[in-house]
Amino acid sequence: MTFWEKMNAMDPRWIFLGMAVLLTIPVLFPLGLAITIDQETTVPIYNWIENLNPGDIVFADVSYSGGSAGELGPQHKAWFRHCMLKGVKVVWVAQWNTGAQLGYEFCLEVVEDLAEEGIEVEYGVDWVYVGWKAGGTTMWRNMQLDFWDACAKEDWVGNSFEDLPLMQRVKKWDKETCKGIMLFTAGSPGVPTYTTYFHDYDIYLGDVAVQVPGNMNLLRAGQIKGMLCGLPGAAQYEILLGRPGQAVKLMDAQSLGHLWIIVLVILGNIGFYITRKSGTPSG
Amino acid sequence: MKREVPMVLALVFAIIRIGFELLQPMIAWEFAPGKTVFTRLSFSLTFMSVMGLLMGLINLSRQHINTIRRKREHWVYSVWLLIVLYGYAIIGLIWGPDSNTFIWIYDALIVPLDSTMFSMLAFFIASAAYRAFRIRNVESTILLVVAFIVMLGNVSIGEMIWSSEAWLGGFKGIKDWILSVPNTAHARALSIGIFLGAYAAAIRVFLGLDKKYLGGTD
Repeated sequence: MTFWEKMNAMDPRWIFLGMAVLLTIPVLFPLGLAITIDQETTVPIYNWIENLNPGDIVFADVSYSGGSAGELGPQHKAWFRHCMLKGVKVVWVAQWNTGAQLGYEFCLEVVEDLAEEGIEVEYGVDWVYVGWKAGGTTMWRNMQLDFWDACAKEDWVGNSFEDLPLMQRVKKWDKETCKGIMLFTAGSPGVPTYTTYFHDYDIYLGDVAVQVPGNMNLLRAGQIKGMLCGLPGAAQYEILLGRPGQAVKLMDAQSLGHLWIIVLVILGNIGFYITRKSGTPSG
Repeated sequence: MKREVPMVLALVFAIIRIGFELLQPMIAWEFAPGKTVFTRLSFSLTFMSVMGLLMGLINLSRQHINTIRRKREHWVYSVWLLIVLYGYAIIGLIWGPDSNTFIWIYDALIVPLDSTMFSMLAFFIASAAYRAFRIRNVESTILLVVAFIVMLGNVSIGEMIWSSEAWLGGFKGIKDWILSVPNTAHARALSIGIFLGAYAAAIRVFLGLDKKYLGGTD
């Protein structure tokens, strides 16, 4: 058996091991590879928050679950941190039941981090987490007309809207109240809810990388104004905030993971051609 | 009558719903101060979707109870599914969704399992790429080149190899062009095709030309 025949018949566990090592090492020992800020996708979101006035209200949506928390979690935290630092008020909703609690916990993490830095953020005044409400996409249509009624006048943890000062300003989800929508999405329901019912709002996306090609046409058409593209988007946002965090650290791992796949494809093709030439059947 | 009544209802409600969405004055109709007819109608959809959830629960339970009764292959998994399904629901109903137990199960089991499933993709993609991504013809060559460019254009190491400040904007510049031009062109064509198909399907239902939702074969 030649070297290439052995390579073609390689146990996949070696591939898995290689991937595991390459993903783990940079997390433990960051390489510090440079990250380029994308002017067309990431910067518009940063500028949007920068240009809002303290006290302005934006809406944000958690349309993801644990599966995509690796990419969208760092985006969520970086963006929410930015809003809180700028004094922008955030009303959170969630189209995904399975991710609603996770989104709430990410918000709490940000609030705790800020408190450690001496920045006080108050629930009900600076942000409210309405979370998931049963009813699907039509529920979002109802929220436009009567936010309180549609949400049964209660937030995710059971507080009455009556007791939350921020909610006194959010009777309706209309353009006077809402200065833009940030949607963190990993699938359906997700973007179409907003491009259909909220098409005249400024919509921004926090997207998982696999969905970016599918949503790029919306960016080109102006239906969405900016997009955080997977983990790189989160890392770029962290750099713009001047506080490199989890995403920046994970970008090195992603770089090596991609490189590993490319090396494997090249090796696989070399093996394929050499064994084909020598007449040995292969993959 | 069994078929005609649902068909008429589907048509009437389709017209009402379309009317409310397209004709602005209709959206403001109020049956009580501050309460619009449209909101009430929309809530009926919310009610239906919640009922759908209940129907799903009943259907899933029946299917798996049948599997257990007949001891079909892997019936033990059906037992496990029912225990988890009803166990978690009962915990939520008794202690409430804000209780520590309910949230602990979510944090310690659901989120890690969900993340694990998704992260395993990286390993399977690597293995599949090694075994199946072969340059056999022009199409697969184009696919491979585009995949390499997009993968490198997305990560820092690609920037290190061919910088975005260099000729053609490096891997990132070419990746951006691929995503913005050919990818957008095909995605838009696909979207328009899907939506036209969906409209045609909806119109067929509203006009009673498609009766599959009523059961039967036609």
